[in-house]
Amino acid sequence: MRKEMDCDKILELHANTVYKVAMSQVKNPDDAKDIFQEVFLRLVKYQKDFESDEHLKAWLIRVTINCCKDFFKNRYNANKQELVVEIPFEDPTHHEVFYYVQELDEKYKVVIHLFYYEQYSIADIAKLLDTNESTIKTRLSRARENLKKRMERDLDA
Amino acid sequence: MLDKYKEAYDEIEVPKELITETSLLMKEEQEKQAEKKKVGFFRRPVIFSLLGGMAAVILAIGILSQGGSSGELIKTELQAGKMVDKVKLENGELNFATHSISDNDLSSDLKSYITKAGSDADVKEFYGEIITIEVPKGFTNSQTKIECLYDGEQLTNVKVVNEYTKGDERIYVTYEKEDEGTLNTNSTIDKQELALRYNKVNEEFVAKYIDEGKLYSIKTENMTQEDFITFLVKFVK
Repeated sequence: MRKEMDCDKILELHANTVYKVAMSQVKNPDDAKDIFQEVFLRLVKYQKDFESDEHLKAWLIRVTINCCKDFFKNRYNANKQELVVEIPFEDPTHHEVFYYVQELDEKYKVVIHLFYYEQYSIADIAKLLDTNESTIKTRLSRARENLKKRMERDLDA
Repeated sequence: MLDKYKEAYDEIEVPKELITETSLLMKEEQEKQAEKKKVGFFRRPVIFSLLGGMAAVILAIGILSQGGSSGELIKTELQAGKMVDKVKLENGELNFATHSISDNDLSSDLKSYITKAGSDADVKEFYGEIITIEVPKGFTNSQTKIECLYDGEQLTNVKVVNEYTKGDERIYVTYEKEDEGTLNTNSTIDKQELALRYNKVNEEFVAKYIDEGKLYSIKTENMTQEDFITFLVKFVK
């Protein structure tokens, strides 16, 4: 018989990951909250068996990315603009890095987040996103180039 | 700059009330699921008696139509939430363990090509017809994407991606002109050779096969192995 999942324990272990993946994709905390709840509700609905916490974490990240894609698709279909909410950071450099990365394309933002925050290897990100390692390397390098250009442009201005 | 990325995100905290609310929602959902199971269990005798009465009719229809349900097609016992590596079918065999589709096969490498969004007119001009794909039962066609690949001025391929959704379940059916002429197949359905792959991390099933010069790809997300096989068998037929 399937063991009932311990919701509080799962939230304790993975809330941070899911919320921050969502925050890295959408531009305001309210949207991130909706995505967060949707991801954990899907977890209960699907009743999947996971081999380990790492397997569960990878599933949650993947579902969060899918929910973010759905969010962008729905917003596009509804012809709505995304509401940007300013997040207060104590350190101004944190504010800068957060908003520069937020301006990148979704496919770059997700790779940046998984590499720099979750500290996954390129090989692991490739597996997680079901793509080639070379694609991940290219996305990381383009994201870095893009950020550099934007910063230089802002400095010149 | 990016060396500060982790520190920046460490400053962001998950709101405590969000965790509390989500925990309550999850528990409510768990109760709903448990309730459903209970109802299912207590109604079983009624369902069985009804099914018993209908069994002969269904059997007769099955024999007459020679169609067969997924239960008859799939000879290996499948379990929800578990992956079975080798599945025997009435008319073939599917291998999910061997990753016969390489990563390169799965992602289109379009480096040397220019891709432009296409239309139904491009599909008709390139293939001479628009291939109609029946919407899987219970699903809706959420979007169709047409991509035209140009090598310089020359239109070299037209890729059509149909996305079907039912709740969180997704099926992507793609077809394009087959260029390579080879595919490392590991499975068969009705003598049609296929390459199958199961991605455990993403819970995705992918099948590829070549038919009449076209490469067909079927990818599913959040679907059980049984539902994937049932769809695939019908689609290939």
